[in-house]
Amino acid sequence: MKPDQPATREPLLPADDEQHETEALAQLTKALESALTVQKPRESFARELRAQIMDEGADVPARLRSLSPRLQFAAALALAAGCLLLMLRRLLGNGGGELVEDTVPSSA
Amino acid sequence: MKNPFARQSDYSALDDAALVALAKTDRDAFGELYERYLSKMYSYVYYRTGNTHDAEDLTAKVFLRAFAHIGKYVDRGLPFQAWLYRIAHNLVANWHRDQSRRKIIALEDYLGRDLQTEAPDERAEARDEHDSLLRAVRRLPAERQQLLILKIVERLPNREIGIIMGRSEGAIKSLYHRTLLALRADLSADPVSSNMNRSSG
Repeated sequence: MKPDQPATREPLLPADDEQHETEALAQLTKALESALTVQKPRESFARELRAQIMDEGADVPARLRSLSPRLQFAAALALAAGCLLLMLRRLLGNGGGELVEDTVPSSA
Repeated sequence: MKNPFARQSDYSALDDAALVALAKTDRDAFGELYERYLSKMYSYVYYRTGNTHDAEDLTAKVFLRAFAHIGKYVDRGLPFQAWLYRIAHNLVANWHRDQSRRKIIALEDYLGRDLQTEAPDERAEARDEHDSLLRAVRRLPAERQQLLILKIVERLPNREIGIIMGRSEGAIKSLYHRTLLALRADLSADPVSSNMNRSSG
């Protein structure tokens, strides 16, 4: 090599070998792409796991949120009716009726 | 007044960061994250364990663990899935430690749907090639198997794989190249797959 010539690194592989290797690796990548594909879990497994996660330690508001709007409305209505009934019983005084003595006497 | 029981109607429009922030208090938001990542986690665990039973068991553990700890998740600007993959990776590592012997992959599960439309001879040949290739993949060190799954199955970019595996982007690129070379060397010792190599050359 002449002293004024810039130093160049020799390629590690001759050009033909390099091209052959590139092609072989490309072919291998293609084979891998065909062999390793996304796996879908069973639908029943996916559904059950989701239900398990959603129920895990769920508090009342969370359970209510998970209901459909119609059921949420029905639950709210039932709750309001229950509260109203309790309030009415309290307002009417003795809880809506006289206390009944035990139907079976304790002694003859 | 805002309805405290009102449902966030369109979680699918939200990005991961917004969903994760919501999921700390709203399990429906976590449900959306679950839908987004279920197949990815399942695929990852499936290829690392080699059977559907353990894949389902570990996938369930990944999501239950993520759900239990989502409240403590700190967004440092890294992809959420990197966190999930790390949980999955740790669980799979523990699983391998607990195994007294390594299981063989249920190869029939690997048959691609597209292969089944081919002629019987072609299908048998393709299946042989698949089998040898997958056996060779299973012989790779765990780290290289993980890299192949993330790159080939999940099609993640090197940068994201680097985050998951705790390496630089350059290191992942180099490891991938070395993995392909090792795989090719292994396959060349296998008569079935050396046919595959010859057909490429």
